[in-house]
Amino acid sequence: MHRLPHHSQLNDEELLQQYRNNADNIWLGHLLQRHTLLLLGIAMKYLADKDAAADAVQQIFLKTLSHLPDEPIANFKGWLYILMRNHCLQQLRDKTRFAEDTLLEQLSADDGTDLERLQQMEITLQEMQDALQTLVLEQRNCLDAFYLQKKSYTDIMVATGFSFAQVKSYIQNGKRNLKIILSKNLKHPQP
Amino acid sequence: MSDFSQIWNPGDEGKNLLTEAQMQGYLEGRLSDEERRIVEESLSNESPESDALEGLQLLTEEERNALHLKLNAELRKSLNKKRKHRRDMPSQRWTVLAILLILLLAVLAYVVLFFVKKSV
Repeated sequence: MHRLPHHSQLNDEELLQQYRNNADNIWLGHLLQRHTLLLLGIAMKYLADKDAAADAVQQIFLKTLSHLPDEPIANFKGWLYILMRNHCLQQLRDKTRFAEDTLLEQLSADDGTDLERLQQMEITLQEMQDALQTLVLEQRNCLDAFYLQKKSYTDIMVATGFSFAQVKSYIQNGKRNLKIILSKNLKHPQP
Repeated sequence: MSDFSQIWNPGDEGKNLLTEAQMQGYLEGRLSDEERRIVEESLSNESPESDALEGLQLLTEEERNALHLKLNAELRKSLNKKRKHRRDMPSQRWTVLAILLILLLAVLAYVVLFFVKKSV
């Protein structure tokens, strides 16, 4: 007799396939349970309230259990992330009544910089240092501490007094801005 | 290019596959320096895990664990309810078979009655 594999041996997409083949919610349950913490964290980031976040996660569970699309999902975690994030943004929108569509775009938009091309180009140390100097102080300090001094987030938080979210944001935004500045310089080299 | 090259490792934008165990270990401070560095480098890219870790930092360890357990328990409850509901539902296959059987009996009854009437 064909024996079903244990859920821990399967990746997300294989679990989803098992669910589709056997039409048994238990597989979907294993899959969702794998991402509970991820969903809770995303909901907390957007809603900043533990009860609202827990409610949002439960709603996403129910939505997935009852309305999982029939089309194949290549990246389940990514799909779940977008579902959770859009749910939270919708809640915020309902709450504040003034939705800014650009918020969604801003949150999801990539800066469009061709990272690979940037990596292949010869960026000199001097160019990088010059670009770094043009960043705002907080971004520059966080990038310098994390990448050049190899400090941990906790070390940076202690040294600067920034919160975890601020350190993360300064590093992310600093990286993005650095890419934009260097891309511009590559397109229009300064004499 | 010195340590500046660390800012963009080749293909690092796609390397955000942190597991729940890694996230939990990071939040509880159980990771080695090397493991912690991997998580924090992933945080510097935009990713689901990066957003999640930021949100989870807003909860205490007790709150996080309590909510995690509660949500998983609720999920299991919903699943059991759905499975029970499905088990309690009469099988479609038997309904179809019953209808076919009734139709067959009706046709047989008609044929029998037809021949009986003819012979009389």
